[in-house]
Amino acid sequence: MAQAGVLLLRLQNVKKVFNSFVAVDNVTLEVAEGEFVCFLGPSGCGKTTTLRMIAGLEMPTEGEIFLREKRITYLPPQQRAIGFVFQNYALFWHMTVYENLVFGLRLRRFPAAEINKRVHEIAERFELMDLLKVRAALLDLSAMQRVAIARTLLIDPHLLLLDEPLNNIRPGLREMMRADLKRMQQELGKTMIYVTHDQEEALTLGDRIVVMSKGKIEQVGSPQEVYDVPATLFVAGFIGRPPMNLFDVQYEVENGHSWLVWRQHRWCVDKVRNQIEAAQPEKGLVLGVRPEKLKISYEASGIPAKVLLVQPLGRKDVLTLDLEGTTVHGVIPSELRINVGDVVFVEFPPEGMHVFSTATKGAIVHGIS
Amino acid sequence: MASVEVKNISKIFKDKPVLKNVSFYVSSGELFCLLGPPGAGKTTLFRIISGLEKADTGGVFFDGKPVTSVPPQQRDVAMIFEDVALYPHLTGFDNIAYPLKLRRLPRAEIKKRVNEIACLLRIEHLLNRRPHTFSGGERRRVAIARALVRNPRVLLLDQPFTDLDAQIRHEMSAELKRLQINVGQTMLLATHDFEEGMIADRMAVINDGEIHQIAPPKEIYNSPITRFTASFVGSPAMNLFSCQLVRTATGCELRHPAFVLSLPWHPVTFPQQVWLGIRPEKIVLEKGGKIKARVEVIQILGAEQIVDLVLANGDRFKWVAPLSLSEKFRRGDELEFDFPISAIFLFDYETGHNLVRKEV
Repeated sequence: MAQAGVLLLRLQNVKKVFNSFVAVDNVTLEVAEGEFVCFLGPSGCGKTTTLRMIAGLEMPTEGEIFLREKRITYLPPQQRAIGFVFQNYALFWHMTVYENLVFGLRLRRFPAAEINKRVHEIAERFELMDLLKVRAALLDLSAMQRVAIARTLLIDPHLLLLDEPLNNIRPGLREMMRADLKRMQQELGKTMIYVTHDQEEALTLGDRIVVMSKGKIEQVGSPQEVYDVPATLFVAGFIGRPPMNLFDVQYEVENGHSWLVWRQHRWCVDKVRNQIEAAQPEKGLVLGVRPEKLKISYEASGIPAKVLLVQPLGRKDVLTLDLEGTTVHGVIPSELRINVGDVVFVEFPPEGMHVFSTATKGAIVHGIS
Repeated sequence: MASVEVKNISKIFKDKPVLKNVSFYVSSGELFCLLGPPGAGKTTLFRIISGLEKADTGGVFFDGKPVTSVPPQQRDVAMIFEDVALYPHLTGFDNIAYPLKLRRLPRAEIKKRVNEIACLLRIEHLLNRRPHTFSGGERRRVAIARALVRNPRVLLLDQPFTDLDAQIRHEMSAELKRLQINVGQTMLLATHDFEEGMIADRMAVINDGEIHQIAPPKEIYNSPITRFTASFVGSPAMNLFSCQLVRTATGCELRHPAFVLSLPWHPVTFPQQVWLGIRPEKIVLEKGGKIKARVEVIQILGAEQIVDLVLANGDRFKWVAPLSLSEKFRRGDELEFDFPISAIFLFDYETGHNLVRKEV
């Protein structure tokens, strides 16, 4: 059984260059036993390449990879004790579930009795007992996923890598399979690294999220952290649906008070003055507010905005607003009835205002109150 | 722009009925959504509307006139599929201009119309580029521009955004709404993603070739008339519990192996077994509540959390809670909940119909 908190995997200054393209740039990361880590980023950010280097399917150009403090950087995949679940599951479609499950064990010349025992244990665990004689090609998606994961777990890997296994599965079923996977991981206590470009998936699955962009790590943190205290403008704009509203603002000092100024509106930032002034505010600041933090109502306080669009999503509505020529998104509970074409008033709550530096793209302060 | 009426359409493929007596009316300029799981019959219906397929019975009418005997190319229907095919060797401009060139429109006219539509879809920057440089969302925009440039009477969109990321999908469905407002195009959108369909004026929920409900999306969300509709529209889906229904002096009682709930009303009809439905966001955490459950999985989703709970008898359900909740809990904790009476739905166990209430 994995011991929580103990270091399992370490990536040290890992770099991968394809021809002249830097796919992964100086990635350093530690993963503890029993953790569920998600690599999140847009396509081409280097997340899959990083995963493939951990699996041994790609060799790093520079840097080292350690598993349980053993250097595995150039070890072939089959010697790493790492399981890999591919996007399309890569089952042996012509074989039965049973044959799929025993394949790896037979290859490793386990005794027949041991194979039988292990397969039945895992089949029980993954609710596959009734399906053992079914051909893999005939399974439904959820069962395919279970077989793919069960098959990989049978060889008892230290670490399980999953490459967007829930892509192309219809909404509804996807949420179900996601919750199943999370439960499975918690019950097994098996360390997993999961690659996805879907922020919702990463937020709901991961104990920790590694947000990547252009080959570099932007932030490593819990779902709560990357959402509430995004370290960079990229993270702020990538996480959240709709993403954080961003405004280019100026910093001004007048009569001893500090202000963030956007057009003719301004917000007092006396309480975070030191942090802002330390970050060279003259080079430009960006103000960020999450759509659900904006206070939107018909009561005449705040900045007037015209409602361009109301997109209902069931329990909430996403509003697209024209705020003095700038498009802004808001999220409101669907009980509040707001109609297209109406004029509403938008207030920026001080505790929900994030300030970033235009020059470094990094966060300066979260909340100005 | 035309109105579209589908009247009593049935279709059987190899003994398997794929459409069962489907009827609906889409007004001119309406954005209408056909929502259902894969295999529900959405694509077959679109192929019948566009003339690529013949219905066994029933008819299709544009502006009140039957088009059943009109060949596809004369129906003036544009269709966009999940798998968007642009001409890879042509620029964005030439891709969009293609249908107009086929019609031998004068060059100046083509240029004017392509530019207009490009401006409307905000793709001016793609006109001189070739498709391999487009992102997924941009490909969709160009495909929609190409379909709209010839002013079709009806635009059919068959799962047009399925393979796009959630955020882009969301933006694209907003784009459809904007187009509808600006152009007044009659549009039918088929999708299995209810969020995508919520933008429509009205929505038809279809399963196994049968229409369950036609209504504005919010009405479908708030008053689903079948168990299928209730569970298909909403994410996470509505929780459903199989309960015994017992009549009492003051209304009725719902008996579940793990809890008993009393309602101050009862259904007009009285089946023995019902489905109790409640949306995950309506569940209330309350000390002393009648429903006791153990926390199994907590998934954090920005401002909210989705909590998987398990009842004493092993039944599972989901709860959507704001993250700002003052009570803290962890995996394995036992919590107590209330299902507010106003948020409870009852569905017939056999037929799946929403049971009409009768106040006591």
